[in-house]
Amino acid sequence: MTIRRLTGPTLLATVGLALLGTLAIMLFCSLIGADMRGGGKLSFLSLGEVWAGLTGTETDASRIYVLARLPRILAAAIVGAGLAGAGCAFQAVLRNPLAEPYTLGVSSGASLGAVLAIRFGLDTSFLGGSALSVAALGGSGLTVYMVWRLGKVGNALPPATLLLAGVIVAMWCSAATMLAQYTASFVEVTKMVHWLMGGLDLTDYTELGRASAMIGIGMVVLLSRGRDLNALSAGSDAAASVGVNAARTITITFAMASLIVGAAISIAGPIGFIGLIVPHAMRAIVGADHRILLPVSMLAGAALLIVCDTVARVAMFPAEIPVGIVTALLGGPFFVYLLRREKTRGQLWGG
Amino acid sequence: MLTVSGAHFSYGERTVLRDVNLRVGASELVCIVGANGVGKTTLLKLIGGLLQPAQGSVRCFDLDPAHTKRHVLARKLSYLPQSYQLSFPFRVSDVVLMGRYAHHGRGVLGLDKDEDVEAARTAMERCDVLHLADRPFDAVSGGEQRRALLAQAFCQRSELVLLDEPTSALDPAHAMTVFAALVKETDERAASAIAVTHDLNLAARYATRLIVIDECEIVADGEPREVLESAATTKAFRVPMHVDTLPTTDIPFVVPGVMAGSKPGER
Repeated sequence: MTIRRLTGPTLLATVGLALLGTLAIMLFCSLIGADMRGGGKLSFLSLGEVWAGLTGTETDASRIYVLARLPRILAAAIVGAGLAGAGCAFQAVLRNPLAEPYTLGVSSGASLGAVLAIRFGLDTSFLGGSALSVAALGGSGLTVYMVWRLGKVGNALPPATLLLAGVIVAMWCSAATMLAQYTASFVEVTKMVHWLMGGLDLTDYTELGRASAMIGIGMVVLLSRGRDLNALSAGSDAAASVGVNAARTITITFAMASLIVGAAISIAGPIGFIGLIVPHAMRAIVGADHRILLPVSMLAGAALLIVCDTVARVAMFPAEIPVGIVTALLGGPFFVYLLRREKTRGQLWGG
Repeated sequence: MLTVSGAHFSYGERTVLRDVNLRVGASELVCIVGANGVGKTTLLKLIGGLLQPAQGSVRCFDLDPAHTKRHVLARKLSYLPQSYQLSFPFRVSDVVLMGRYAHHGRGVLGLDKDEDVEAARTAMERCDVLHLADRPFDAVSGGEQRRALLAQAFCQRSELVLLDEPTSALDPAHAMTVFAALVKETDERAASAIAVTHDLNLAARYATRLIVIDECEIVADGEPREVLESAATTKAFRVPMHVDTLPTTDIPFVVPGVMAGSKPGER
């Protein structure tokens, strides 16, 4: 009997394949869209035309590509990768396959921050960035700190209390969000609803860069914790006995995953389901080992959100649907399918 | 290698251990026995640094386990917990290989090396789980899981192995395999093992030393047969112990609650 082990080449080959797939999807989806020149028909940009414009003199195609498509595709990629990676990390830390960024109140806090910013007319520019983004990021940071403090028992962070603290804080934030909506003017409510649905229609490269940097840092730290997260799958004592500092791993993971989610929400609004279904689906394909599951989930999350956003752009063309609606509409049934399949195989994870 | 001196521990108001003194040297196989809830697991956790004594001290290889970096401690000491619940579908070999994490160094990706696989293979052969390597951990039986976890503790190559009920859920043959493997580990590598167990006969046969805990204290400590025959043991288990030697061998065995003149089925 041979013992399978995770080697550099295996990791490289698997992640490389996922990367190629994601890049292909990225390129393909970035060329689909509305061509207003042709009377608003759905069409493909010609890759040659875009390339010519990028390397030589600017063309219409290259202008559309650089100003509209590319930032949006890049935003979808980084947000999708971040949400899937954070979801995977939350599931590992909470030892619960149903955990996701929403479970710990992160996105409720971010939403409250954004809604309050709109309510008090702060949705203008602030320090070179949108005050809305800053408020969303601040909201998520505050909630995470509160959940962490509430969930802490001595030096340990038991998953059950952490989860409970998350749910309580999330509920409180939702109530406060509704109160802010209830007392807002019609114009404000429209803005709030639009933001809460989630969307990637941004064209600002600086804001994208700032969020990407935060998400990138978070993802790199998470990727370096794969082994520790594996050990943590059997609980704090078991992790400690193989040499992993459980409380420290939980705190770092929690902080980084929250930074990612906060930054993602600040540019895209709360987009659900990516953080829940992607790690699940990838676990069925590459197994439970977080050293490989984390990078593959991130790439798959990027690919999935790009596809969902493209559907959002073209499904009801020329109108556009908020991408949060698409992920939830597609994600719900997919999750039911996963759950049913697991039930028939008799191994409901973590059950 | 291990010194516990004057250790007290309590969960809130409830005292669990009182003035525990214990020294363990190299190549010892110590079994800790006692009734349910007398503090056996707590003592093991104190030694493993998972809990910290309220008074007194625990020194393990000149380290204070509760205040030592876990990856440093894990090379000195491994701990097999009483219950082990995995939340994701890892393979049996994945779980065993986790025992090698403390040997990986600070590599960012934490990949498994050839020597890790070799250590895992030796440990899995010794615990008779090599044939289960590719099976999902959750899908093998409780006894097979215990053996896989023992292999995890072995491939950690620590000098002190702490085991909390290593043979619960094991069939007699495999329970014996486990103790035989422990003897091999303590002989070959001069490692020591401390096992909490309820299997008095295996303890009597394999342990070099038997410790009885009763009402938060160590009440007997010494050569297994003498300890089993002592009044303190009878008091600790609330039943007399009939200790005898198996015919044609030198191996002691013990039957609880039996006295001269007892009849089958009698209470």
